[in-house]
Amino acid sequence: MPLDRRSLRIIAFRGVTLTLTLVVVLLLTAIILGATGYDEVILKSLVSEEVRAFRQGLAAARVPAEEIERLSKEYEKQLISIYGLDKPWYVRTVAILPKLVVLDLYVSHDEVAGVLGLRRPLKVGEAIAVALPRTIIMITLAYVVAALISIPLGPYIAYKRGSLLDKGIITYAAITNAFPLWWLAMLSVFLFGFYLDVAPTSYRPIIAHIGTFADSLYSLDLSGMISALARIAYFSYVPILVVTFATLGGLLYSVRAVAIRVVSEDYVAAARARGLSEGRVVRRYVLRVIAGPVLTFIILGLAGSIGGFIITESVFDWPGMGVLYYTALSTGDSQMVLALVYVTTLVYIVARFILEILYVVLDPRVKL
Amino acid sequence: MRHQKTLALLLAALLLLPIFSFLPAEAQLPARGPAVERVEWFRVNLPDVEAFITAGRIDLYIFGRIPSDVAVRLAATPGIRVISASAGLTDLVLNPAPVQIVKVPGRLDRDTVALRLGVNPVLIPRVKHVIEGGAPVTHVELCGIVDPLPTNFSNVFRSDKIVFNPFCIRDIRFELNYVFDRERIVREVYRGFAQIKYSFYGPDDPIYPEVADVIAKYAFRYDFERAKRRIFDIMTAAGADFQGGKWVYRGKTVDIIGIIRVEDERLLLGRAFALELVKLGFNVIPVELDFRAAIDRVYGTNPIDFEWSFYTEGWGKGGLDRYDPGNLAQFASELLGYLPGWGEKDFWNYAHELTIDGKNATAYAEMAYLMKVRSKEEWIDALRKGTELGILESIRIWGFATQDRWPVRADVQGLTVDLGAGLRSPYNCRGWHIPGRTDIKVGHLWVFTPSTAWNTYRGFRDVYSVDPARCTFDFTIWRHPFSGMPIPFRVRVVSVETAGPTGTLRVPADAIWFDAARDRWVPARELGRVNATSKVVFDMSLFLNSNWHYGRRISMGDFLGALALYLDATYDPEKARIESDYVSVAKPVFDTIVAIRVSGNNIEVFVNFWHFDRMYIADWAANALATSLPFELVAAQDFVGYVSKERALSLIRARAARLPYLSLVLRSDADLIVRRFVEGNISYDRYVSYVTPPGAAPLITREEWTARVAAIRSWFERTGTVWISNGPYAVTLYSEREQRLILTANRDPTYPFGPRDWVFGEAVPVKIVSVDAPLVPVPGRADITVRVEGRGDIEVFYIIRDPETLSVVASGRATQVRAGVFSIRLDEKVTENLLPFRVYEVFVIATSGEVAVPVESVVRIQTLPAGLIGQLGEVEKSVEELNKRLEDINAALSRRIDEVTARLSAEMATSIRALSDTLRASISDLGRATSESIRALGAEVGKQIGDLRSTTEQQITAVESKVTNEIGEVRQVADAAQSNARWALIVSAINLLLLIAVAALIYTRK
Repeated sequence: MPLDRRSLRIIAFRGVTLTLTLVVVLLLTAIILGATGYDEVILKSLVSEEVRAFRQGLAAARVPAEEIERLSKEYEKQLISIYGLDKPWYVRTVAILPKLVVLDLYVSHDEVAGVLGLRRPLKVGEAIAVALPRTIIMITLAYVVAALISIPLGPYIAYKRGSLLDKGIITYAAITNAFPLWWLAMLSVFLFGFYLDVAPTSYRPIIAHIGTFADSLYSLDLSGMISALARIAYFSYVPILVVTFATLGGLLYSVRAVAIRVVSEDYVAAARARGLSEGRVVRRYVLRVIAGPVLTFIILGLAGSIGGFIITESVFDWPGMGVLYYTALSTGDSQMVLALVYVTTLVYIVARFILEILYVVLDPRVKL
Repeated sequence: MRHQKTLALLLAALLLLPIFSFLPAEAQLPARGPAVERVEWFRVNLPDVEAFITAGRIDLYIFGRIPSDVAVRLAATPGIRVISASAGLTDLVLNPAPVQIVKVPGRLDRDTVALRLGVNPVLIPRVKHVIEGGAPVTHVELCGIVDPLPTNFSNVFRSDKIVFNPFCIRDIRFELNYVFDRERIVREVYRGFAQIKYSFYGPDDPIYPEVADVIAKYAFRYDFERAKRRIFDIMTAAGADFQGGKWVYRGKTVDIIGIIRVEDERLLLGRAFALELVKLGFNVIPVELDFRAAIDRVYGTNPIDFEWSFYTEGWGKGGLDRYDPGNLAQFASELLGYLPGWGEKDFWNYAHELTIDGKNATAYAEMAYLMKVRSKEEWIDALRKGTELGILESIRIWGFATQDRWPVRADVQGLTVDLGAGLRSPYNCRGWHIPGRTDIKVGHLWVFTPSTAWNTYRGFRDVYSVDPARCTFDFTIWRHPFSGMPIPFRVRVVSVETAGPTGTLRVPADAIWFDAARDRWVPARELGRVNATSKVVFDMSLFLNSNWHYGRRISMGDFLGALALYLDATYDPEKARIESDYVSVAKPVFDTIVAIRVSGNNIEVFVNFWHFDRMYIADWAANALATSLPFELVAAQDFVGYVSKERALSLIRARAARLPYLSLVLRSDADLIVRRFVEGNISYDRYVSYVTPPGAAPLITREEWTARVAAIRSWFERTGTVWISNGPYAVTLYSEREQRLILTANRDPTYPFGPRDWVFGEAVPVKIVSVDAPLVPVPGRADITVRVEGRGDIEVFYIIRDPETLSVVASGRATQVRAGVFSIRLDEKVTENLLPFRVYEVFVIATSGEVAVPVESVVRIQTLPAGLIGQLGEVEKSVEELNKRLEDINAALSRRIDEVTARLSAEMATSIRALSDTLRASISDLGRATSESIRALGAEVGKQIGDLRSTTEQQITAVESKVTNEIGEVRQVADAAQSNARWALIVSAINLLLLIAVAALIYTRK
C-alpha cells in the first residue's frame, strides 16, 4: 500500500524525533559518566592498584628502592596515559561520541573482555557482537516462544473469562511473577543438571559451540553446523525453558487484559449472536483488534530483551549483554558503557520507528 | 606339627589377601611421567564448588578461596576432605598522621617545643630539623590542634577535617593491640582457618623460632580494661576530655574513620574492632567498601587528608621460604613503600620514631633484605631488631595468618600437602590419582582471563596460567614443601663455591657472556667480567638426556639460546624500550650474573650474590638457566614481540600498544607463530648467533632447526597450541571460550621422573608430647624436660616470660638428652633473674629441618627461694615418712575395721532374725484383727446398701406407675386427635371432589 505525502511526513518527523532522542540519551550518559567523575574514580583506583602490584613485583625481584620508585612512577605515568586520565573528562567521554556511532572504540578494561572469554585489544563492537547472540539465544528466543504462545492463548482465555483455564493461568502468572527468574534458574541447574542429570551443570561451553556454529556457517560446513546446533540445543534448552516459563505468565496476563476489553465490545457479542464459530470470533473480531497494542509491547519487549538479564546470565555462567553491561559499569569502562547504551537505545528506537510506520500504515487515525 | 604350620600359613595368606588387593592399583601406575593419563581443568564458579564436588563433577578445586563456612561443611561431608595452608595475612593498618604541623625558628628539642606550645610532650610524636633560607627551623608534628599558636610559631599544615588523631600517638597505637580480640575472631569468624599473629612474623613462618622470644614479649591477650586505663591516661595527658562516655578535644568528638573491606572475613573483624574503639570512647565512622574503593581511599590519598584512620588490610603470601626477610621489609620499613604515605613524594610520610642500637626498622630491613650482612648471625640479629621495632611502632596491628582452603575428594592419592602452597604446589599434579581411574578433573575459578598469558617473558602473571603450566615443565630448583629450603629438581647441584660476602672469585678465561650490542656470545673477560662472588656448577643431564614434548632431544643450545635471548631483551636498548616491563624485573637479576661456562653436561654460573645458605646461592644462580621452552619457541616469542611487533610480551605493552598479549596456548597466537615459521620469518639465520659459543660450532644445527619447525607444525595441527615443554604433562587442548584445558601425560621413555618421585605426602610436624616443669629454686638449678615426636633434626627453643610484666627473662635452645627428649637447663645465671614465689610462662617451640613450620606449647613454672626448696626437700622427706606411717595405720585400721565389721555383721544378723520373728508374729495378729474388722464393716455396709436399694426400688416403682398413667392419658388424647384429624381429611377430600366437579361443570358449559 503506497503511503501518501502526509504519512511520509509523519514518519519522517517521528524518525527525526527518535534520532534526536538517541543523541540526547548518549550525550546525557556521556556527561553523567564524565562530569560526575564516576569513571575517573574507578580508573584512578585501578591505576593505584596496578602500580602497587607492580611495585610488589619489583620488590620481590629485589630491585633497589630508588629503582622501584623510578620504575613505579614511569609505570603510573604510562597507565594514566593508557586510561586517558591525563585528558579532561569531556575528551574522554563526550568527544568520542562520533566514533561511537560506528562503534570504533576499544574496550579499556581487561575484566570487560574477560567476562566474554576474550582478550584486548577488543573493539566495543566486537564485544557486543559476541555478547548479543548469547543473549538472543537465551532471552530473546525465550521471549519469542512466550510471545508465540501468549498471542493465541491470551485472547482465548479472555474469551473464556472466568473459566477454570482462565483462573489457572491467572494463578500461574501470579506465581511466576512472584518468583525471581534467577532463583528459578538456580533451581533448574540443580534439578536438571545435578539431580536428574539430563542437562549440563556448567553452561559456559555453549560459547564455544556458538563460535563453532558461526565458523561452520562462514565455511558452509553443513555437518559442522548441524553438530554445533545440536550442542547449542543441548546447552540452551534448560535456560530457554526457564526464561520462557518465567516470562510466559506475565505476557499471557497482559494479552488477556488487552483482549478482555475487546471481548466485551458489542460487535464481538453481535458476531457471536450471528452464530459465528468461537474460533472465528477470536481470530477476526478479537485478535485483529488487539494486534496493535499487543504487537507494541511484544516488539518493545523483544527490543528490551537484548539488554540481557544480569543475574540469570551469571547463574547459567552465560555471559551475555546483561553481564557485559554490569561489568562495564562496575569497572568504569565508560567507552563500553556508552556503546551498550548506544546499541540498546538504537535497537529500542528502531523498534519504535517500525511500530510508528506500522501504526501509520495500519491505523488511519494516526494521521489525524 | 607340619599340618599346623600349613594351616598357619594359609590363615596368614587369607589375612593378607585384602592387603594384596590394593597393590595392583598402585602397581598399575606408569613407570614414567605422571600418575594419570589426563587432567581436565575447567571453570567452576565459587558458589557452585560445593555442588560440583559433592556431585563428583570435579575431583578437587584448586582455587583456595572458598568461603570458610563452605569449607567447614565440605570438611564434614563424607568422601571429601579439605586441605588448608597458610596463604594470607590480615592486619589493621593505622593512620599515624599529625593533624597539625607547625614550625618555629631555631633548633629545638621536643620537650622545649612542648613547653613553649604549652602542651604535654605526648602530643608531639616528632620534631624535624630543617634549614629554611639558610637558618635552622624546627618542624613540629602535633596529634591535636593547638590554637592559638605562641609567637614565632606558624602553621605548615592544619587539618580542617579532624581536631585530634589518637593513632598519631605511638603508645595509643600500641595499646590497641589489647583490644583486638584475636582468639574470638579465629574461633567465630575464621572458623579455625587462621592462626593468630602478633607481628608480621608468626608461627606460620619458618623463621619464627629465631624471633619468637622477641614476639613473646608482646603476645597480646585481649585486655580491654588495661587498654582503656592506659589510653585514658594518655588521652587526658594530651588534653582530651572524657564527657558522657565520649572523648572530646577542643569541643569536638575524636573521630575515627574505619575503612572496612566487605568481601571476606575482614568485614566482621573490622566491625568488631570498630566496636571496641566505640567502647573506648572514640566516635567511629565505619565505612564499608569493596577492594577498589577501599584501596583508592587508603593508598590513593594523603594520610593527612584523613580519609581513613584504620583499614582492614589483607595480603597474599608467597610459597614457604626458610629465610624470608620480605615481611620485615614490606610491613615495617620504608624500603618498599608500605608505610602510611606509601613513599609518595607529595604525601606526608611516616618516619620512624624508634631505634634500637641507633638504627631504625628501615635500616634493619635493608640489612636483612638486601643481604648487607656478613654472617647468618648478623642477618638474624637485624631481623629480630627490625621485628621488635615493628611491633613497638604499631603502624600495623597484626591479627592473623589466614588459611586457604582446597576441597579434594578423599580418595585422591599421591598428594603433597605443601605447607606454603597447599594444593597449588607443583608437586601435586605429578602424583595425584584416584585408584581405578586414569583422569583427574580440576576445578578452577578461571582457566582464561585477559591477563592470562603463557609466554616466558612477562606472561604467567596469574594463578590461572601458573597453576596448569607448572604441570607442563620441570624446574631447575624448587622449594621443599615442608622445609621451605631450595632443593634441586631436574638438575644436580654439583658444587657451590663462594668468596662472599666480601671476597671475590676469579672468572675463568673460557667463561662466556652474551654481548647484546653485537648479538653474539663472547668471552666474559672481553666484557670486563673477571670477578664474581660465587660460583655454582649445575649438572644438566636430566634435561639433556630427555626429549621435549614434540619428541626432539633437549640440547645445551636450548639453554644458551634462551639465556642469550633474555639477555638481549634486557640489555639491547631498542628491545628494552619496547618491553620495559620485562627489563624492570629481569635486569636486577641479570645484573648479578657475571658469566657462564659450559663443560660437558655441566653449566657453571658465576654470580655476584652471597647468602649464608649455599642452596640459596644455587637458587639465585639458577636464574641463568631457562628451561621451559625449546630455543626456537623462545626465538618465536622474540620475533613476534620485538621484530614484527605483532604481539605484546607484557600486559603493560599490550595495553599501551593495543596489541594482543602473547599466549602460546591460544590458537590464534600459535597459528601466527607457525605461519611465521613457515614463511621463513623466524629463521635459523636470524637466530643462529644466539646458540653459537665463541669460536665453536652452533649448538643447534640447521637440520635440527628444520626438524624442530616441522615438529612444531605437526604439534599445532594436533593440539592447536605451541606451548611445548619438557614436564610430566603436555597441553593438548586449550579453549579460552569454554574455559577448559586438557593436559595429557608425557610418557616419553626418556622423561626422567615417575609418578611417585615427587610425592611428599603430608608433613608430620614436630609434636610436643609433654613438658615436665619442676619447682624452680631461685637462685639454683632446674631442668625442664621436653618430650617431642617428629622426623628429621629436631630443635627445641624456649622462652621464659614473666606474665605480669611480659618481659622475657631467659630464652635459648634446649639440649638434646636422647632421641625425642630435650632438657631446658635453668642454671644459676637464669634463675637469679627470676623472682621467688612467682609463676613464669615457658614457651617451648619445636622445629625440625624437615618441617620448618614450628609448633609451640606454653607451660607455667613456679619459683621458690633456694633455701625453701632445701627445706622443702626435708619437708618432702618427712611427708614421705608420714605417708608411710599413715599407710601402716591405714592397714591396721583396715584390719580392725574388718574384724569389727564381721562381728557387727554377725550380731546384726541375729538381731535381724529376732526382729523378723517378732515382726512376723505382730503382722499375723494385725492381719487377723484387720480381717475381722473388715468383715464386720462389710456386713454393716451390706445392710446399709440393702436398705438403700429397697427404698430406691420403691421410689422407682412409684415414679414408673405415675409415668405409665400419664402416658395412658396422653395416648387417649392423641387417639382422639387422630380420629378428629381423619374425619377432617375425609371432609377435605369430599370438598376437593366437589370443587373439581363444579370446575368441570363450568368448563363443559363453556
